[in-house]
Amino acid sequence: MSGVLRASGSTLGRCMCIITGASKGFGRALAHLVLNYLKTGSVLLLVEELLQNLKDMQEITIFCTVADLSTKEGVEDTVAMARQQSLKEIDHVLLINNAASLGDISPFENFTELERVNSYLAFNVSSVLALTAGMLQAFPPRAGLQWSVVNCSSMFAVQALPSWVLYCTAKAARDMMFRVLAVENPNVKVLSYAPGPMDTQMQEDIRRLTGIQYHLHPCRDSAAKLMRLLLDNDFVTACHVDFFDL
Amino acid sequence: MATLGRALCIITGASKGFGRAVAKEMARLVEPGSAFVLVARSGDELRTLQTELAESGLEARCVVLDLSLNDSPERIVRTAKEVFSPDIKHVILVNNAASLGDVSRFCKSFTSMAEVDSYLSFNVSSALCLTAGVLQAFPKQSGLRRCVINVSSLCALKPFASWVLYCSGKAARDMMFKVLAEEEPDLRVLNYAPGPLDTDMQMVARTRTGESTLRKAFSGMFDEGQLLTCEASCAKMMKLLLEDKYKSGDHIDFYDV
Repeated sequence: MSGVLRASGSTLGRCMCIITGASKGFGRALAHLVLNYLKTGSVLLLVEELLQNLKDMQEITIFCTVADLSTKEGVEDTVAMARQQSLKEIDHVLLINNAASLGDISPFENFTELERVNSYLAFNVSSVLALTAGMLQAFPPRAGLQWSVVNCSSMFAVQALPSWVLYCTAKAARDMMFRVLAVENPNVKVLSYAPGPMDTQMQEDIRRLTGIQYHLHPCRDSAAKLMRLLLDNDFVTACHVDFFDL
Repeated sequence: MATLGRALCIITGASKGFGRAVAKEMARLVEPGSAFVLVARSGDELRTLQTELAESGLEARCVVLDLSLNDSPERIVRTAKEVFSPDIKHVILVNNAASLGDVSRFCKSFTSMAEVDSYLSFNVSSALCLTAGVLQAFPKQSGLRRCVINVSSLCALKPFASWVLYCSGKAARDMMFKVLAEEEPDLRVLNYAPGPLDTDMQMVARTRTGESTLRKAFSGMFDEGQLLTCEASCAKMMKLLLEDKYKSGDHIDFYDV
């Protein structure tokens, strides 16, 4: 972080910002919000299932790419796309690993099929490590290049919930994965942010599958809290922070 | 003397190390009429173990396979059903088989999804699917105790540099079995971290770990004779099982007992 001069708390700098799962929900709210904090010359790379075009902003390059992150090709294509920007004068890389799926909500003993479980873990765990690794290689951390990684986590990374074995297991794996990343890379700030229950398709699916209706918060409120954490940048690396903690 | 009763014991990674020690120790603690299902990739070592158990009058079946193949959980469950009898009052599944992954490398080198997928398939998915299959095959019924053990690690709780796959896999497993414990209160679920054992896995740790401070720490433990024998750790695990007072889903380390 030496050599980076920016007004603390007000911008993300000249940033290469990558957000996965950006087509809807929390990812989309983040994409919209982050634009307010990117300085001229920044690049925003949105990885999504469906191509949604953000309003063109002057001086900030926005790429929207459709990639299936459950596949090796999807991850590699995303990294390749980011790599094309690696010659720009970026002073901050911000990677937000948001894309995720709920998986089947079902009693533990129903999960007898390896393929199904592997497929879930490929998208929710493997792709996150592979993508993060790819971005670290494309933009090696160095003096003058700030690096921040967000892991969109969950209360259920920490608390076991009956019938949610896939989701809990993957979130627990991710939290630990990012803790290891932080230990290995003291110059990369890592944040596991649990955004709380929001008004998203995922919560719709939860309600439909479980009948449980949580009190939902607007995505933009949770996105705003995350943004404040990133701008203030005084969180302890690798900590797990919940929307309700703030 | 306290025993595990007339039991069906299913143990993965039973050919050597901790899994083998568990098989031998459980064999001493079960009652006649008990049966063992021993799972590993190496047939020769399993068959030697099978012979030893047979000498104690215990039936043992060997299932030689790669746990991460799609039909493996089903093959193990089928064998378990074959050796089960209505006299058996205790089903014990020990999810022990595991791998370290490439500990010589750091997070930023894991750009290959295939490598990570393969690791998770063996170390996480197969444990979930095998456990699910066993629970379906031996459903809750009065008079039948059911116990599921996850061989865990300090790495489930604490991150270690150059150990991303192993730490993530162990953290995933601990959570997986905590969810199981929450779902099925009549099931006894134990996340047991055996401590630093003198095994082939430990040898890889002290020779291949990429992070030099950590590698030296492992070497140091070996050189100072601080590694545990599998038997010593296994004895503590058996104590936990026999006393049967642990809270289902808890993570208990060798050094906690």
